[in-house]
Amino acid sequence: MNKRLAYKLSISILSAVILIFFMILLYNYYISRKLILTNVKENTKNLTSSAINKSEGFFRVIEKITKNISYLICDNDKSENEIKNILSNIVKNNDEICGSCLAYEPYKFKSNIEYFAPYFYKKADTLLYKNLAEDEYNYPAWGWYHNPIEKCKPLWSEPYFDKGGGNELMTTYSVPFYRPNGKTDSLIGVITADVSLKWLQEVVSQVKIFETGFAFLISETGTIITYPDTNYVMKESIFSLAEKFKDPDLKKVGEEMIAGHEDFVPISSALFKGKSWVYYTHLKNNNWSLGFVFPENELYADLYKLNQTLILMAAIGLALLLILIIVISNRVTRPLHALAMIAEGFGTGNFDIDIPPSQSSDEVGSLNKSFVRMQTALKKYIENLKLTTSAKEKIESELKIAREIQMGMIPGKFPAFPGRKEFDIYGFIEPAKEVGGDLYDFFFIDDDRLCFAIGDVSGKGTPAALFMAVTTTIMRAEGQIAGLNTSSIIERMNTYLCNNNEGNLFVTLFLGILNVPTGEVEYVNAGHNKPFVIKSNGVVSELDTSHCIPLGINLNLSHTTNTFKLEKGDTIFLYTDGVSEAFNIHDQQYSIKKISELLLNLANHAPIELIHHIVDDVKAFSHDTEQSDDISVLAIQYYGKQLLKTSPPDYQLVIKNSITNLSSISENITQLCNNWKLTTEVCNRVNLVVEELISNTIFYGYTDTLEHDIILNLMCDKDTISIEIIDDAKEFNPVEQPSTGTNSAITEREIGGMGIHLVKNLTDSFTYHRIGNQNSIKIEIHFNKKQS
Amino acid sequence: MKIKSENTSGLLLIHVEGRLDAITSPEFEREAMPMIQQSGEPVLIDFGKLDYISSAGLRTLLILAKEMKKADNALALCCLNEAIMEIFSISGFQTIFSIYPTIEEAVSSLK
Amino acid sequence: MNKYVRNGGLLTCILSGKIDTLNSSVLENEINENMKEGITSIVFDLQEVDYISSTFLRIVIKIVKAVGKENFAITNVQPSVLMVFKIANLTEIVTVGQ
Repeated sequence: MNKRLAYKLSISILSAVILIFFMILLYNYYISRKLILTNVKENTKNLTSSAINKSEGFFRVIEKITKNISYLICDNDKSENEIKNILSNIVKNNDEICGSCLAYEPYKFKSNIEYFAPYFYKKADTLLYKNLAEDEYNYPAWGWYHNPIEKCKPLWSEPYFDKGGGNELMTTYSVPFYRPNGKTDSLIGVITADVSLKWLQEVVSQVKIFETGFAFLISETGTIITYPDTNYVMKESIFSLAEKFKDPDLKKVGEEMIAGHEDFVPISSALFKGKSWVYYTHLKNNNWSLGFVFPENELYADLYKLNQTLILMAAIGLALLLILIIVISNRVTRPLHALAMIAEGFGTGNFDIDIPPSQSSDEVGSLNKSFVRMQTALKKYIENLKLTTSAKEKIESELKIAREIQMGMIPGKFPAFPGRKEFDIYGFIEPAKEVGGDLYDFFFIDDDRLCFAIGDVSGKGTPAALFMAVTTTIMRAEGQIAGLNTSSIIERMNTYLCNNNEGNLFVTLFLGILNVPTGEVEYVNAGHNKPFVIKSNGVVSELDTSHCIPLGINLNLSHTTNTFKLEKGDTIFLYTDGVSEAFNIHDQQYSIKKISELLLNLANHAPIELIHHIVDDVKAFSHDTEQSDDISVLAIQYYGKQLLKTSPPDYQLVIKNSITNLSSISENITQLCNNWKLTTEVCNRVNLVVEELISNTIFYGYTDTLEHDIILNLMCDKDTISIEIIDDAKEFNPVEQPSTGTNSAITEREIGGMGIHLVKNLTDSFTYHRIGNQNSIKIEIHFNKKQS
Repeated sequence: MKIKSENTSGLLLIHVEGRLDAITSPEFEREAMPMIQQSGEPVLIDFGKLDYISSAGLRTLLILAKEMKKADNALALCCLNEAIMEIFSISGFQTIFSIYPTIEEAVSSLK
Repeated sequence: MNKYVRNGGLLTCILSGKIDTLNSSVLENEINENMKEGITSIVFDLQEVDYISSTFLRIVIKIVKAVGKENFAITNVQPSVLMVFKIANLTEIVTVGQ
């Protein structure tokens, strides 16, 4: 974290600084360049003026001398000797002049002489004379002679090499001279001065600009007169060079130069070896042009140097800045890093880390102080939390024990009365909190009378649970006094609960007493939900009861006792409002209607099945919501009076799941039937039914190869044989099996399914229950009726 | 659960809205108890906007009724919806309390 | 003991005692052995049989399917055994003579 912050800070600041610096540098560079260029432009004139002046001066001197001669000569008629004298003196006395000629028009020197052209010239420091008219030279045909005449003005010739003389580069200045003749001047001849350009070449080549800059001279036609590379001299023109280097810019410059213009232009030419600036100006005397080449890198050498220095300084500055940023950011982030480590420590539960005090009064300092405060607060909070948690855990464990005690008060062992075959009873309770206020209970008052009750104490939690415990205890105490009826039990309970009820709690209670032999039930309903009665034929109805107020409210209960009768196969189903008023996530109630609808399909189900069907449905309905109230249910199914226990007694046979045991069953049944004095026909029916069912179970019921017990119970009273077969095979309800097509032609008959068809048709009652992991089949055969 | 009270024509009228269950009943008791203790007049509780009542709510009503009895003043209920009435009927509470279908009827018989 | 009397293509099976799940497989094997070579019709004499279970009914159905309804008959059925045939709705299909 430390490094990252410093890194980020450095990168962003440096980037900004570098950007700004480069913008300044760039600006500076262009401005300086402009200034330098302006400077150079001005300095160029100074730099080049001496060479120009020298050149122009050189030509001017020659022009003056030559013109002076012309004046000298045209004034008077001079003798041949005088003329020769003048010419020889000129050549002798002027170093620059290598030769001079006075060429006359025909017959203008002397009327008797057609051509006359005395010519004095230097050769190896000796003065020589020659009359050009004497050999076959024919001077009037030469350009130096007729060009000035045609133009009527003095002219400088194109440079040329003197072949006869020192092979030097020469130029000739020709001046036509006239003699006044009346109104017009008449042409007499042409006077020339041959001038060596050696001196001029030296002057120009001596020009040095910066390191490699130079000057060059071109003639009127662009011919190179002087150039550092002497190979070009007289052999190339600026245009031929432009051609050679394929350089249109150079051609343009050349055109400008011979046009006699003056300028300072940039040019990128191979001739000048890269980028350069060229200043050119023409010489006034003869339209020749001088060029000065400034290599750009030398022109800007100072600027480059300055920029290099600036970049170097900037680099040093940036390095210093970087160090400074790192130092500062480290100083800022070090305490932050330390705080981060401490926070991490807090996260792992270590609150005893010493936070080093911060002297700084900046944000980091105040963060530090906040951390110290947070540490203290957290420490205190955690300590409190520990205390609370341990207290809560203690309460929770006590509640857990309380729940166990409470559950212990409610009968939870099933089957509750294994010896009583006349009815089956099952109860289930689930408190909303650890302990609840719901209750159910059942116990025998005497041999024939079963007292059962379900109740709901107002409210939930510990107070309700304690009140429920009191209620249960009193009910047991009062109920077990034989001879009492529901009315007196309820009244005694109410009196006790009213007299000992500081908490103003009350309990709704449905209390009933089942007369087991007759199925008659008397009951009192003290403000409790109406139980349901499910008849064996599937009719479901609420037990229409008159209510009195719950117990614990008023000593005057003004209750009524009601009675009804349970027939064989009927079930009474009792519940608390935790079932009917279970809420789902949409805040809808489960409702009494839903219970009754579900019960419609549960006729002839054993109480345990019925209850778990209901409870599962309620839980599915209200799943994902907290259980809002205790859920309690109790169901009693009545099977009718006990079978005759006197002669002969009930008979039980337990066999293993092997088909060979069928013979012993058959023998036993036949023996029993003899004892019971039953006809062979009835005996055969019993045998057939048992054989079909047990062989079915043995053949198809087991998924493993282990040994299993099959229990066969046989009972007989004066007109009915009752058979019960209990096994732990897989769930199979033979009652619900469809009768196989006994109507189809025999050739299309299925081989299987006939056994159960036989059983169904040979019995008067055939019921099936799945109880836990057991199949229980109950069969009755009436033997007073004749089978058709 | 929301509770609101007003004094009209010589009695204290308390309107209860929402649910009276194990969670809200103690709150109801805490708020309603000082009201009826201070009023010194007959009390009518309007259940017109009550959605649900559990046994805990019934218990609170019982406590309030006892308090009223001590002060020798009448406590009546009115405007119970069908579901609430069903609970009063199942629990037998309709025999303990005076219950009226409308506020007007309750007011005229309490006078 | 069961007796098997052969008369040309007709096999008469005189059965006796109880025919239940346990001994029906033995009976089935016996009948199958006697049904070889040219037996075209079968008669069951149940004079001595006082008990049958559904396994016997299965054997009957198998034989009827094998020889055809018109080539099979059961005679001398006792009332208790007849009742089983009635319940299984086989009196219509099998020629039951007494």
